[in-house]
Amino acid sequence: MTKQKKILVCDDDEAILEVIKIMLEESGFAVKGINSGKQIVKKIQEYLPDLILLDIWMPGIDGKEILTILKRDKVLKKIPVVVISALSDTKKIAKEKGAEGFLNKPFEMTELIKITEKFTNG
Amino acid sequence: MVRQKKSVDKFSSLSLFQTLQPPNNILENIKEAIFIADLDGKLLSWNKNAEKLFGYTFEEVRGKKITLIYPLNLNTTLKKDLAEISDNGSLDSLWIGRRKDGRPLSINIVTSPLKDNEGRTVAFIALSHDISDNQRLEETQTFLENASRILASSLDYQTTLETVAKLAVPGIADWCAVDLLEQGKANRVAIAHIRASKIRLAKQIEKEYPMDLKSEAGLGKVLGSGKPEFYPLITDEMLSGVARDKRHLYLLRKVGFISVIMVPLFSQKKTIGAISLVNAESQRRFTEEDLETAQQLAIRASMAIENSKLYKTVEDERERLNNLLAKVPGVVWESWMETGKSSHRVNFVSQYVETMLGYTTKEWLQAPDFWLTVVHPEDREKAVVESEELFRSGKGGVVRFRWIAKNGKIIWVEAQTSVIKDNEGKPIGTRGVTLDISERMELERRKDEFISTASHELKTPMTTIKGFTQILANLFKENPVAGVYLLKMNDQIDRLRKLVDDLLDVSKIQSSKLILNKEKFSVGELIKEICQDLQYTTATHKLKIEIRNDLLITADRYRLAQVLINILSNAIKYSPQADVVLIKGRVQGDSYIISIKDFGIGIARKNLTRIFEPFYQAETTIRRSFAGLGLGLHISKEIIEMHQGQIWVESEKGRYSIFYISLPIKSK
Repeated sequence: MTKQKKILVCDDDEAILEVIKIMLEESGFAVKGINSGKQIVKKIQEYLPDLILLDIWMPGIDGKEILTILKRDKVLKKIPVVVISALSDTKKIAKEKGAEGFLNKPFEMTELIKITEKFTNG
Repeated sequence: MVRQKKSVDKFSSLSLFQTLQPPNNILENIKEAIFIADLDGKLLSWNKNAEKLFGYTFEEVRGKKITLIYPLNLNTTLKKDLAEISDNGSLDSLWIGRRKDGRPLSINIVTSPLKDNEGRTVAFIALSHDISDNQRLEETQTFLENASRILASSLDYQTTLETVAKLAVPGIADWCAVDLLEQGKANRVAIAHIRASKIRLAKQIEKEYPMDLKSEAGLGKVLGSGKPEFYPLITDEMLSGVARDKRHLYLLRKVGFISVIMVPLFSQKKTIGAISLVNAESQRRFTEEDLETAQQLAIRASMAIENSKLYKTVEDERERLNNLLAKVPGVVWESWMETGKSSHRVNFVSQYVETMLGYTTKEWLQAPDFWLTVVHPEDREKAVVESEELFRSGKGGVVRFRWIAKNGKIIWVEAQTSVIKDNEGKPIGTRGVTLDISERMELERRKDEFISTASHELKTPMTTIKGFTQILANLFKENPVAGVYLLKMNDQIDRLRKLVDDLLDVSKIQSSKLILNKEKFSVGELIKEICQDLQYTTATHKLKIEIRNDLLITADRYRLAQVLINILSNAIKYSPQADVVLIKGRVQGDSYIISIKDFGIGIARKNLTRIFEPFYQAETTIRRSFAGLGLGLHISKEIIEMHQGQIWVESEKGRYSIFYISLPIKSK
């Protein structure tokens, strides 16, 4: 049996974290949700997820900065990042900063599962 | 004193000398003044013309030295001069001689030695004539040239006329006066004479007997008639006729009038004054040539006065205009192409530039493109490129950029530009007004921020609701009723989401912030894909595709999909009684045409273009069944036009509608 894939979700909205958690756990993933970008690097280093779902627009914390930091770190940059955002304009910036995927809010459950499976099967 | 040596054969004949003794017919008939002097320079012979020229009879000069009529130069003595002539032969020179009455004379003199048979000089013979007339001609020319130069040197014609009057005496006349008519009164602008005492006399006469403009003679007449007056000889009778009383006559006699010329000065066909020339002490009568000189002077003086007045008018107008422009709350400017170059030069900028940026108009105009040097470095390239484009197209338009004020403050501005064209329609310059749009930009920025935030805030709970709806649907998949209801809920959220997206798009379009992400793709494939997806959503209509040609086009795939989805959705929505929608794609010339035909309610002729306006809704009676914000077609039109394409509709009310989209095959 293959090891259960670990997903780390970072979004300031608790309800969305809950929705994603339910959806992904239903599909057999282990999910950890954090609602702030603070300490995210530490938490990633502790949890070592197979995929990071990152909301780029969070009040107070610059999601783009986090993305840059992650992609600059020798070890952490190996973890794929999918940016989830309500604003479709951020797709370009996310790509520029090194995100491997992008998901628009609101999303279909099937979309979420498809993209998660895509980036954890490598 | 000018001396010119000429080499001439030595003259030697004593018998000729003897024949030259007065009274002598030969000498009398020769036009020149002739006289003979001995070795000491004492006069021995003197002809009638010499009398005329110098004013002395022979008796008066017999035995006197010629220095009486030839004042010698300091550098030499009479003996030396005569010795030179004796040795070298004939001497041809110009002299300033002296008349009996003391008046100087310009004369040309040729002096030769008279020798005896042994070659010894026994006397000197001189031929001379008055070249005053020639000299006067030269002097007159020089005077007119100098007068022209002085008059052109300054716009202060009061001063220049004074200078010219002074220049005219004593060479052109003994007296020169200039009078100008100002507000119906004669104003003496200049009066010149070489002697100050005479000027005082003239001023006294003027004071005691001011000029009568209605006078039948003299200056008054000239100013009234605009015609010159020429009195070659003034008689005492004439003076008596003009004098108003005994004292006046006495004063006029004191002046010593001999000859008078008065010429009018003109400006725009009106007499504005006169120049008067008077000869007195010199005893010389004016001739027709002198009248001509005076008129030439009057022409030049008139021109100078006119120029000065015109210039003042122009300057006044310019100042008025500048004051007006300074009140416009924007920088008004004009710029022309430099002849022979491809660069532009700003030739006018209004005072407001100082208020807005702290630079004076002088500083602004010091370099042809100073305006560019104060553009924010990040905006410089864009500003240049866009300005050039506006200019070359001849259409003008608007350019936005940031200026950096003298104090370092950064200001967003908008240059509203129009193009100046020549007679052939070729662009030769630009002009416009540049406004401070800082406030507007700030408002826009806040609006954009609000829209983004609002959009984000709306979509967050939408995501949650949608998420839980789908989770529930999964949870209750055994329950068909629950499944149906949950599906309906999901559809509504999708609708809501589309509305929010449309609002966001419209806001972007209105701020010109909608950006296209172009890529190359197969248009036929896109049509098929969209139709496939939409087919799933409708059970009532069949989407029939006919792709006659397919090709790769460069466009924003996502946005083009948005347009197709919008039109297809409308086609289905507005043909509830029909069951088919036809989609065609083909090449026509240099465009790709997509057409979408539905057999529905159609569109009234008057609304065929109006439907593309934002917030336009179909007729109110049916409105409630066709809910929406009325933004879809407006957004579609914007997207297509941003691709340099066109969108339009053909329709027959109650029967069908065909929407056409035309896209250029070669993208720019």
